[in-house]
Amino acid sequence: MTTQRDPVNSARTGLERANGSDAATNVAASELINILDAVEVPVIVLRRDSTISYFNKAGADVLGLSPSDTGRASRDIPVLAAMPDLEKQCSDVIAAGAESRVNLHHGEKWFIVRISPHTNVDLKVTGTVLTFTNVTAFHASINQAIHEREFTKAILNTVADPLIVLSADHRIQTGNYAFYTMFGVSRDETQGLPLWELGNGVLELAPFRAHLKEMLAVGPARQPVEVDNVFTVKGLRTLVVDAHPLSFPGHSERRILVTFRDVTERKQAEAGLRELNESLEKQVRIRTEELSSIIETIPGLVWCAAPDGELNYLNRRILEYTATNADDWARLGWTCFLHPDDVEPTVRAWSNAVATGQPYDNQIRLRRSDGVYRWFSVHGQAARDIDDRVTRWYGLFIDICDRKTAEEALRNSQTQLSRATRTATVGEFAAAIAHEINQPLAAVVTNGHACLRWLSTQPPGLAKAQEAAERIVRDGTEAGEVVRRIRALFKHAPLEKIELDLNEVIAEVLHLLSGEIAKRRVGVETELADDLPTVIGDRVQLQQLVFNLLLNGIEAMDPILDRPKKLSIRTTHENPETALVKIQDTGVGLEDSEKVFEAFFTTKGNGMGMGLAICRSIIDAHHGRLWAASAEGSGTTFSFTLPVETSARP
Amino acid sequence: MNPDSPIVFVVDDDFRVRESLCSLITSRGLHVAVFGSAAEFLECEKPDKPACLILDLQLPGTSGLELQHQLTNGDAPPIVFISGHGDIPSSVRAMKAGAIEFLSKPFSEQELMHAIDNAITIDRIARQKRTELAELQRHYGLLTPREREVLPFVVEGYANKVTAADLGISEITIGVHRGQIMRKMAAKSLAELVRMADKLGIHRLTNPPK
Repeated sequence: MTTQRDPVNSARTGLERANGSDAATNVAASELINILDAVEVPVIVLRRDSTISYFNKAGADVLGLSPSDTGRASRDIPVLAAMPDLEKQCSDVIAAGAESRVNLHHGEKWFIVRISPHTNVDLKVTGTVLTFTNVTAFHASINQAIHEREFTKAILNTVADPLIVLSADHRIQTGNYAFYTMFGVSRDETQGLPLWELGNGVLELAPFRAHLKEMLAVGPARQPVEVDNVFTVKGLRTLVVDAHPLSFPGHSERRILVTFRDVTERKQAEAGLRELNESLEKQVRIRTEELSSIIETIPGLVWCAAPDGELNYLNRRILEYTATNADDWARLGWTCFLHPDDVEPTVRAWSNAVATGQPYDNQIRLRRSDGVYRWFSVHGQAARDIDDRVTRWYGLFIDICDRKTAEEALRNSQTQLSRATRTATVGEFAAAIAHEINQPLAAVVTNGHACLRWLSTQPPGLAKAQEAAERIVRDGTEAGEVVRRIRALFKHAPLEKIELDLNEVIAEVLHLLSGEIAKRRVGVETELADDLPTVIGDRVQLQQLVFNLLLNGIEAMDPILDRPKKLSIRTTHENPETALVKIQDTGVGLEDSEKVFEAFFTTKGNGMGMGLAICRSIIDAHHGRLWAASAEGSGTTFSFTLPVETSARP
Repeated sequence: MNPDSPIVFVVDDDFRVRESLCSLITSRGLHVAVFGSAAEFLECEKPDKPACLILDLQLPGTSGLELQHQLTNGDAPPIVFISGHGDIPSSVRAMKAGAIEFLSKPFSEQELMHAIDNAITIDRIARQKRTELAELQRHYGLLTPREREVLPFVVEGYANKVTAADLGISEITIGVHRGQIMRKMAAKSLAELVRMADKLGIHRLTNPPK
């Protein structure tokens, strides 16, 4: 037996005393020790001096104590030394007689250590009893819960939309980072604040309040509310505020999750889009009106037709021109507006264009409202889709009536000119007679000889002689007819002297010759005096004069290949009595500058030699002068003067 | 009219001129063929007879002068030009190019018939010459190469001996060749053979023997 009185021994002693029997006492003590060893909670009994007096089996198993530790000071036992204040706490417990608790982290395990006073049978406090309750699992689940909470919080803080949780009485409990940033408030400022006081009372809205109330009562969410609020950081923003009830299983308390969605950008974008849309619509409308106005007002007659050739649009000009409406066209058919002679070829050409899809070009006469037919050039073009199928025909009528008239007039004036060529001079008249009469005359003479010859044969060839005589009558009559025609021609162009501007005459002739000039690649330079006085003359004859001289110059340059062909025309008024015209070419030049004016003189392979002779006789008839000068290698200059109209001179 | 009677071709674009000429020339017992243009004339197949061509100067398309240029081969008929214009440069050109006559319309029967007769006579002679020459050429074609070699010596009057020495063959052989030449060329005398050689244009010896 040990000298020290350990608790068990004390207990045993106590029991012994109580029972008054040693044997009974020992049995009870052993029983007690067995019970203590069966308990899985480690128990350590310390004496007043903090030395170990007893520990149970769990103490050895769980805390790693060994029998030799009995009697050792608590500070020398590693597991107990982990509680630095243990000795003092034990003293306090002994002094106060009341138990205390301390946490212990031992290895992987967590314990709550209860320190309670140890009393002996005399109710004297002899030390302390330490019981180690293992709270490791509990500790772990606490940690887990804390971890989950932090994790959730972090998630909420990364949500860009502001969120807050309200208590049932609409006070703010907590919010996420976005909420505090958006409203520019801190957690402390808003903790417990009624929602309605938030943001200058902007959320103090009857529908929203009713909404929240109903939601708390009934549950299902209603339509979110849209509010505008001015924020210190971000300015005016439009928010969509929504609320969802939150309930926790096993908790009667209800909370509300309020979400704010910033729709400012979206609303702005929508507004911008709406604006853009409207502006585009407006532009399209304006453009459409513009185009339609163009089509309606261009000085052309525009039409459209279906792929099968059916006319389905006519612009206003067409309707105005024909003084009809679209219904008339549909009712009567387009051929009704054409000149009767043009109907058949036009229908054929158009049917062909529709069948082949080839561009349609035609000239037709279209009846105007007053019944007059005017010439139009018609152009049609097929529009096609991506598969090259004709989707529509677009067409134009272009009024070419005036052009046609002008062309006619030009042809007439050219005819007049050539008539003038034939009738201008006596010399030319003679040439014309020679030309026109010689053939029948030659035939008459030959037939006369033949007739005589047939009569003189033996026997006389009377039938042949008669044929020859008949031919004499026929050809003689024709010669007479030629003379009559030439006389008529001569009468047709009487000399008509009027005041004339030579510059104008030159311009007219240049216009007539423009085709020839372009065809033969001749460059024309004109230098026409502004102050050229008028002359008195026959317009046709003077045109003929200039025409012959210009054509002569142009033809003289035909063989030129090594230098530019240039024709210069100059009018001057050097002498007060006369107007001077110089026509210079860069042709081969002349050998004899006087002989050129003689009739039948020609250097051209196909010329009659009449052109310049005619010029000379025209000039003579107008009391002017005509001469030619030729410089070696630099072409020829033809000059003529005409007396100016004296009354026209200042 | 016998098959060798001459024919007159008329090319004029004026039908009245064609008709009257046709009538007049027929009345003189000549054959006539008329054409309205140079092209018509060129297309037509001509009979092998003495002929002349009355050609208008001013023809549409190919002109009279141009047609004249196209007819430069030997057997074309002689040309009589007729013209409605007294165009001197053209008539000069026509005459220089070998026309027989140039008549201005209107012309007399005498002028025309004289020109036609002239032209036909010229054509007859030309045809005769062409026939003779053809006959000579046929005879010449019968000669062997050696005989053709000997012929120039004969017509130049060299003795057989000289010719034999020059050609390096025997004198007797030369005598045989000479006989053959006379026979094949149907020459009755040496003088005739010389004329024949002349007409055939047989060249003189370039290297006469010494």
